[in-house]
Amino acid sequence: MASLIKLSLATLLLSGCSLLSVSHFDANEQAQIVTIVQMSQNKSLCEDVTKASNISSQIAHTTEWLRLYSQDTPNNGPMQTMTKQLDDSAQEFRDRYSRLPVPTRLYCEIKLNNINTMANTMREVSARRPR
Amino acid sequence: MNNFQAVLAHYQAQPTRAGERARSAAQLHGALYAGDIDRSSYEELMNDLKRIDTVNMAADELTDAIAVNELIDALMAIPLP
Repeated sequence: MASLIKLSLATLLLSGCSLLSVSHFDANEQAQIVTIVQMSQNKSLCEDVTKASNISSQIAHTTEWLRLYSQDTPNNGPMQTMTKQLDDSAQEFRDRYSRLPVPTRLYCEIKLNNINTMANTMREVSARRPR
Repeated sequence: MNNFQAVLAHYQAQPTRAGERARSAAQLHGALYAGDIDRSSYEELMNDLKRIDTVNMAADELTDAIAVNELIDALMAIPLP
């Protein structure tokens, strides 16, 4: 038992105080992440340029909300890092549909897959935060 | 075999997150040469693969923090002898 306590204390010292400061589960944040996961799942939207353009705008709007919201949450460093990466990617997606030439279907499918991968990683870890 | 080809072959075979990114990078490279995406899209999507890694690392950091906090709570819940 003593060695277990020593081990945990050593882990804390080596890892720094940041380990102690974990933001709690946030239902607003989680809801937006799940929405992004849902919006980025349907690759068939890429068959139609108008639908692809619309979904790129909707995703970018939601990721921007998420990034702004997460910035104001205390002790939320890792989530802030993740929301920035996701938003940067989503803004590029929207920008590409706002200019010519129109991106290819393959670009759209890979982009949605990348956004879905990031959002799913965020969804899983966010759900495990303490209530 | 070029050095990058050896690295690609090594990671492509791995069923890991790194392997997944390596396979995606190879797919993108093939798509560029096949003319399925333009150079600008290629660079953007390749950059996304780095972003995915940043997200993975941040998620791991948060996972570790949550696990250690749970450990602390569990230790504190043990009755003193």
